[in-house]
Amino acid sequence: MTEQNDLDEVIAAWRDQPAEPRAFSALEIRRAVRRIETEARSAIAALVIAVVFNVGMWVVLAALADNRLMRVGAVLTALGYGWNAALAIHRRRQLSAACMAVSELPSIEYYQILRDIDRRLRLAGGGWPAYIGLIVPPLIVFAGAAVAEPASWATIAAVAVVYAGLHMVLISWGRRNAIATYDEMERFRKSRGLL
Amino acid sequence: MSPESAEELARERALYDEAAEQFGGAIDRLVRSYERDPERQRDLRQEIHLALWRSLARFDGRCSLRTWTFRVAHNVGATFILRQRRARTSTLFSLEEVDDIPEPHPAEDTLDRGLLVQRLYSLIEQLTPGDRELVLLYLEGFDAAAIAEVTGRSASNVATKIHRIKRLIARRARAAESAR
Repeated sequence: MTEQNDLDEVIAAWRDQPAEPRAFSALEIRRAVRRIETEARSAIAALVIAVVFNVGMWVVLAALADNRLMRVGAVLTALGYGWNAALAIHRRRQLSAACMAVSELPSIEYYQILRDIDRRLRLAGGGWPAYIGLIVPPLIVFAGAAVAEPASWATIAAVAVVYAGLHMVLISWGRRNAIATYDEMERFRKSRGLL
Repeated sequence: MSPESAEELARERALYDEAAEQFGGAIDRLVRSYERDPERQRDLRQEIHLALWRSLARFDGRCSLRTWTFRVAHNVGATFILRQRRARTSTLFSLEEVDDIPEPHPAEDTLDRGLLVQRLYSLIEQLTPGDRELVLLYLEGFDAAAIAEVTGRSASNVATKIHRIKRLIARRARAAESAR
């Protein structure tokens, strides 16, 4: 048997595999797409509710605050939370849309773009917007509280330091973790021959 | 729904029906090559069809529907493999390396053609996604130029790889023949 005969036999055997019934009708696919979109919207809605609750809490604090410094700090904190959440949702949506928009590219370009998207997504979280938006404004609230209660300034300062330190650790831990996951993915991509 | 969007939807639907009708079998074979577990095969199959449906809104005819469909299917397949990185730790090989791997012993009751196809699946699932794509496209009857168009590799690179694929497959076929 020649090599060409061998190949012809293999290719014939490959293509003659019993066919399965058609996977999905166009209608089923449209339904599935709608279901996925609804699920994505529900997830975003849940996140928005959590953020609105958190922001609302700071707005209430701003309304009940004893002095102007606390009010300004509480309003800035509410804005900081809202800003960071909106930024996170926007990035996720933008990146997932970008990811979907490249599915028909030649594989090599697709792998490259997917890798860039992954990198951008992982590095986007926990940057300066998180430090400025989530740490600085609450410190203004603490400063306002210290002005309102001068006798307790030491306790308030201690709580503020703990608050800021904890948030800094959490934000930088999240960022380091995201970068480590990206590095792990890079090693994995290399092992799968995608780099 | 505006007349334009209704028209657009009808066009996407017609394209999807055409792609599913013509390449559904090839997509099924691709799914079986990327995933052995029947449950996960169903998931991957659905993901590919969903991605294909969603992508067709952007189909502008600059490449053939066949090239478009296979690009989407392979890209979704490769992403599927990447997502399962924690579940799967098996080593994958390039076309050059896989030739040195000993073949699994065939089951005695396997039918001739079944044995051949079974051996092909075992070979393909050992390959890296890039080489896996080349072998699958070759088996589906793509020539070097069409493979280059789907994968984005240079024509000379594809030609070299096809030469290796042919040699490898012919050798495996002969091994299956002698095992009969």
